[in-house]
Amino acid sequence: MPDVFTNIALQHYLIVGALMFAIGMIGFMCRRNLIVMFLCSELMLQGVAINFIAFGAFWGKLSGQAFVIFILAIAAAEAALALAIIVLLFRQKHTVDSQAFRELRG
Amino acid sequence: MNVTQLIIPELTLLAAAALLFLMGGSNAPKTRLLAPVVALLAMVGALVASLIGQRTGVRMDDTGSLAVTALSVYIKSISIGVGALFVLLAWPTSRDGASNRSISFSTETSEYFALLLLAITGMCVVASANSLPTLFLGIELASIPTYIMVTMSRPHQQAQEAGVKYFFLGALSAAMMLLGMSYLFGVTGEMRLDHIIDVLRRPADGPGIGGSLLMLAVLLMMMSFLFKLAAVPLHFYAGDVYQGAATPVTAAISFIPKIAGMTALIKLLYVAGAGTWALDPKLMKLVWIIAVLTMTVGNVLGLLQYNVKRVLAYSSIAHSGYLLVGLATLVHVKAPEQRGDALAAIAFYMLAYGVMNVAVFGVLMLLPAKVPAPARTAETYDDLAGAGWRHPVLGVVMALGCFSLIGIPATAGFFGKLYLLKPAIQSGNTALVWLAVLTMINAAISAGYYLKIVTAMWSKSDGAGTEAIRDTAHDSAYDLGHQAPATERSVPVLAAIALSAAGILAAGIVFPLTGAIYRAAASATAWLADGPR
Amino acid sequence: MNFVIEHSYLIPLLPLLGALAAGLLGAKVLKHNSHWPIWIGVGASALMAIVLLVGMLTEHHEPGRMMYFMSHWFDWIVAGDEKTGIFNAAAGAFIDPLTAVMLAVVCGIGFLITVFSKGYMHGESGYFRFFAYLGLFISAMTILVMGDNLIMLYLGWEGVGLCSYLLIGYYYEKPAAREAAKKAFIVNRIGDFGFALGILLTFYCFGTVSFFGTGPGSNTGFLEKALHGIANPGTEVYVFWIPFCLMLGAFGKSAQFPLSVWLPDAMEGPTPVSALIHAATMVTAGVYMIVRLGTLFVGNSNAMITIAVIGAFTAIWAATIALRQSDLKKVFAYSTVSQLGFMFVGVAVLAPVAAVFHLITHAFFKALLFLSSGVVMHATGGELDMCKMSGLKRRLPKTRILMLIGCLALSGFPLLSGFWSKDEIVHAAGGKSLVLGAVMLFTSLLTAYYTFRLYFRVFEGPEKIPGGDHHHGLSQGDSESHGPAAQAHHNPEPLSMMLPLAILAIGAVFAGVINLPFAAGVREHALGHFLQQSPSFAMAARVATAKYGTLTDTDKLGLGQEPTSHVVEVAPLVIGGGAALIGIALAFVLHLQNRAKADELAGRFGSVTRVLDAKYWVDEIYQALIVEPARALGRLFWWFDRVIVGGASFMIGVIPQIGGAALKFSTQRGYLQGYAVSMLACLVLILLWMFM
Repeated sequence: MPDVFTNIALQHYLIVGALMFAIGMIGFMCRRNLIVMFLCSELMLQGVAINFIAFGAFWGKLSGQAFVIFILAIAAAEAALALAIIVLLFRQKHTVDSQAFRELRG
Repeated sequence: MNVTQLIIPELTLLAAAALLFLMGGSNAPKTRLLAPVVALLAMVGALVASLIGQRTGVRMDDTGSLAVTALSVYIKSISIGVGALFVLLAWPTSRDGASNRSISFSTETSEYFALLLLAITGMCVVASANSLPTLFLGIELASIPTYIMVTMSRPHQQAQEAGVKYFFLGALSAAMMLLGMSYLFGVTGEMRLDHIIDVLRRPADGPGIGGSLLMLAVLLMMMSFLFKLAAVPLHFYAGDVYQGAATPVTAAISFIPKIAGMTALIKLLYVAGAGTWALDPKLMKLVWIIAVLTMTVGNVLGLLQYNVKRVLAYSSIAHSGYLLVGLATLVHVKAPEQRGDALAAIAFYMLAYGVMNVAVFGVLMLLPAKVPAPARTAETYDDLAGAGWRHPVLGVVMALGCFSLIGIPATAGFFGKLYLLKPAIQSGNTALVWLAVLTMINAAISAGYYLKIVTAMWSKSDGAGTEAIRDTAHDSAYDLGHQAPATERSVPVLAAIALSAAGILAAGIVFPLTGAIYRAAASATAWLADGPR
Repeated sequence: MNFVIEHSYLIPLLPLLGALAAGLLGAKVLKHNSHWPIWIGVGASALMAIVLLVGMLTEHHEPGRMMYFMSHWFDWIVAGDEKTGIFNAAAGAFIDPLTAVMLAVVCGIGFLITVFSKGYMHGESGYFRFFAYLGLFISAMTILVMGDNLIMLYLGWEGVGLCSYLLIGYYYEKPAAREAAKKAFIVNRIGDFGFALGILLTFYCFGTVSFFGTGPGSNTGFLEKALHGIANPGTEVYVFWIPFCLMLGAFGKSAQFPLSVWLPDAMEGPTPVSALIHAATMVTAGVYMIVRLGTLFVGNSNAMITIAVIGAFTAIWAATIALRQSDLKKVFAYSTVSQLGFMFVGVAVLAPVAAVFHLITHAFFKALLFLSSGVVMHATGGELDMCKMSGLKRRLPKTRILMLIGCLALSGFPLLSGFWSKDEIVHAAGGKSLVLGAVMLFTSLLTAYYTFRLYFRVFEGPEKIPGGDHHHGLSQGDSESHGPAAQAHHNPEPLSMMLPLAILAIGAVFAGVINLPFAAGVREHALGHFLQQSPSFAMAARVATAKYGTLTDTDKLGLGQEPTSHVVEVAPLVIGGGAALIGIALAFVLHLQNRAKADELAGRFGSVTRVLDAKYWVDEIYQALIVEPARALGRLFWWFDRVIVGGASFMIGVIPQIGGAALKFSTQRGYLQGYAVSMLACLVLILLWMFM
């Protein structure tokens, strides 16, 4: 087995976390579908969650994992809220394209 | 110490919020009319509890995730006090308790007030947070209810559009904050802020990845808090969101997240400076630049607007800039006394800003829009045209509020700016003196739009093209049964306006009172200035 | 009397309340009864002032004891701390014989003039306004003479200045009145600048602005500190300059050269105002100030010489101008300037009692003369040019008698009030310097001449009445005009106007008895004996004794020490009376017997006449030396303000707007994604900047 698979160090977790965050961020900027944008923001949160767990393991502290529970809870709350708002908007214009909503500007 | 003793104000608010959610189950108008009363009582109770709970020194719970200090008591008290004014502003006046002229709850009156209480609770949690999770939870608790409040406040697309923008960008900023927190945890291995300080104070092993990761963590968290403040370059949402939300909600979201963000920012920089405010010079410079940009961009954008609420959004950005001027002074000065002055000035300005804001938004709520629409009161310069002649009291209060926001003497705002600039000028630091000069230039620029509001209210004309608008409005389906839009005579809103106007004047004229408030702010923040606890 | 002292605040308060009532209710409610609040308020104050004066006169007097009462009203301005020195200006009264005398003059004559004004101002459109101002004036003037510190004095000082401005500009539709009001105000600013500087210096040097602090003998007031030479360390050099600064204020208010230019123009105001403010009371404030602060002045011989020179020069200069004036009120105005010069000379030659004595007699006869010319004006339809009138004695028989009394008193006709007071000043001046005495004596002669020139021209000779019966027109642009309502009454000498005049005339005749050089029913130098108990006088006398050693008779400040000999010095009285008689005789010859001769004489001295007619071109010199350079400077600043400051503020207005437009249309376009991208892009920029 190559070394990289048996000897997984902290930085590997961090790279995965950062990649997830970056993918989420890029998706947030590039996708116009509100639901996908929301999923991207969830992806960012989960990337952070990996960071926390990895750091928690690194320092041998449970507080990192405990924080992840809070993140999950907040993410769930945001999910409920996001979907509700998206439904409201869909009722207005029958679309979930973020560019369609720019009555407020300037 | 038992955690319950520390969070009596928060628990009071939470209990009332839970009760209000339960009341939301009932569809009876009476329940809805009762909701603001419950909310107001809870606010008063929490305020009393917060003031009674004032002790010297730091009190922590057993896990150390909360630390109640003089600063937390001060922030809690002003946020609950001003929060009570927000309850008054949103007081339903329709017979079914489902709306007043500027906000519509459909049937969710109780829920609205529950959310307001939750947001205030979040602010209180931020004020006494001592660990990364509590800080995060506090910020989110102060933010998420405001997303809902914005969205539900009006039955049009504007409010929902504002809500979605606010929410999505808020989620983005929350993600940034979490990323920063994860790195901060990773570098130090601690969640508690005081422990992080201890770790940072230990001699470093030399420059390494830890140093720049720490800086990255601080920057990410700082950006997120700056988003709450609507500071440049994270201010983009403010104009749209403030304009789209109902006026009472706009008033609330221009205060609650701002105070929460500012408090968190002070804590963050205190931690990042290892409790001695010894910050990286580049970071200090960054704070300076952001302060200047924030007030300048805010004021400059305010000039060319038509919608007064949008103007006030940019004004709110500019005022974040003034708060950041205090922060820049705080991180630049060397002497603890001047640091104390800067902190006290920030704390004073928070309260002054909250009060003047209520006065201005309260007047907007009472004046009718020229084009009647549900949950819409005066929003544009046209709506305000000549209103001062019809309602002299409101005109005078609006002028007072605007003068105070500019910082004209004999108002609270003047002393706010005076206290902010005093340590900056006294320090003799060139960067800070320039900062003071730029602040004053900004105050002059801001007069451009504040005075426009006042002149609109006291103009002799009735607003350009008003007749035509009124004619078309007459045909609109909504306007049937409406003749000339009348001013709302809402006693709670009037009370809120009267209280805030009295506050502006009293703090501007009764110098002993001004001094007393300033001393309270100073004693609340004194411990932060001295460095290590 | 105890009541008055205990409630001394009522003296300024009552006229003020009257003024408020008249001012606020006058336009709509009181209308033609607007004089009542003022009559009541000023009348009550006058009563209190008289009670106070009588009470103090009858108070048992021990020689060498000072008589004063202090009344603390409330703490007014308190600032500073122990380290920097405490500035404490209390609102309070310091009542001593000087205050009592001044109060009696101000309130007494003030009351007579308000009574007179009812008839005189009847039917004017701003009737209530006039009385409101009058009440305000009396209030301010009483504060001026009662205040126990410089700040109170200054408050009253500025208060009377304001009322003077308002009342000169009473006929504000007339450009001349507006200009005169502005002139008075601006010229007084120059003097008040000096006064304010003097107050600041006083505080700087002595650490207090209170005259006597907690009372004479406590060494807490600046007068006493000056007496004992206790100035703050390092400030002694400034003590020398305090009198000069204060003097400037006194010269402005009391119209001394060169700040005298405003007073003749001030005659644009209604005649009762000229009588009250610009003759009897306000203009004497400067004299009062120097007398009150005598301790600071007496020891400073440079200051005293300056005052003497300015006073004497003003006296003779104004008297010569009065020789050729043809407007009744202008003659009296220049006469007032001249007589004020007499008072300053009196103060300067260490005869402050004589100055106060002349102040009192002058108040009586000058008020009488002004009010009488007001009656003349009523009868002639606003005409005041004495060339256009003659022989009014048949039309105005009572006024003629009153005017004659006033003129005799002013010219110093023997045994009338002006004779005694003027003689004392001339005598004291002569005792100091023969030249000064000669100048003053010659001025007395001129005074008698121009006074009787006026009298003979107006009341004697062939009858010539301008306007006739149907006068009261608005045609006379140069002087005040009366509305149609004023034409209604045909009797030109109504009782309400004659009664105050009669009382003033009695005063003009008999006021001299208060300070006769010999005992005649009252003791000799009664006023001197009375004023001697004033701490101000007593301290000034001590300074003078210390400075000049044993005081000679003329040096004793006119205070009532026992005279060295009981022989009345008759010679100065004879000389003074003789000068007056010569002047009168000259006027009789030239202006009654042979008026053509006067014109011929004037023609023969053409150049002198031209100079006098042009009033020495003082106004023109002012215009060229001060007004025009000031205008040029103003234009320069205007240009600076417009181009530099205006340009900068224009930039502050425009540049942000351009920036705002740029930001608005680039960064606030309403796209959710756009905002997110902008935010993250900025974040990346910040990170790059931070880590590069």
